[in-house]
Amino acid sequence: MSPIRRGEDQPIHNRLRVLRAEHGMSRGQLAQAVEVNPQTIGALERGDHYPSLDLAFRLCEVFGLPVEAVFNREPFAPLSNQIYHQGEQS
Amino acid sequence: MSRMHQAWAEALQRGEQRRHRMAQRLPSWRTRPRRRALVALWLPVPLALIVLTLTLDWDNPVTSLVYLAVLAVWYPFWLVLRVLTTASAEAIVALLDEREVEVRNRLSFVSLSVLSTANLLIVFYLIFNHDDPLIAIRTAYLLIACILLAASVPTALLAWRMPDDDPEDLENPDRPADRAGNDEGGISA
Repeated sequence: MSPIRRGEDQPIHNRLRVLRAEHGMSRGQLAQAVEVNPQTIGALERGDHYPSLDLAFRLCEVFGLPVEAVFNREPFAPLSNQIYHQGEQS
Repeated sequence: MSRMHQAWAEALQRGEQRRHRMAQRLPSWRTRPRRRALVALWLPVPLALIVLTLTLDWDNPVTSLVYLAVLAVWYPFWLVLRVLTTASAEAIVALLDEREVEVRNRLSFVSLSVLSTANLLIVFYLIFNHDDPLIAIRTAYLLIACILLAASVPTALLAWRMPDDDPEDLENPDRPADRAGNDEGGISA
């Protein structure tokens, strides 16, 4: 849920599920790493909850990525597509 | 670390362990339809308490027993609802994460609204029935019923709103992930 008071609700897309899978982490492990409950990781992945800036930074630290690589206003394209098309271009 | 800080840290640890154990209890009941069924069964109990308080003859000693009997029905319902919501609506902030605190704050506001409205209605009830010789005992029991209703509203509302538990949330974090997600794209909010 967006924390704004009023106005248009702008979505925050994230790549948590795919990053978690890539690192072979369960929700519980990621939750333990950022000190939240596993249900909160599930809510983030489903888009039911938008993280605070603090939690967003913690999550990015776990994966060693900048915030924009994990969270974005625009939907993320599938990683496989990106990699495949990169290969085609080079 | 001072003794007070140590005692607090230990109390928090115990609280976390208690919530963790609670999250594992009644696994077959941790579905939305079952939680909702329980809330639907619970709701008439505090309402019955209020109706009984207003209608029963408080000169009769049996009345208190009837009231206590209904109260005894309320308690197990509330306990089970607490287990099914892992006491998220009532736990102290130090035991909750940011999402749970946000949910708890919203629920607490509803509870406060229920309690304020109930208190206001009780004040009007007192004003309009001030010549009733049993008004003191009747209002006391009415207050108990309203306080119980307001106190259990957050847990009941949370139980009503909670989705089915996701088995992936209950996996042991000390065990390596045994299922790799296969979604490639980002998750839409």
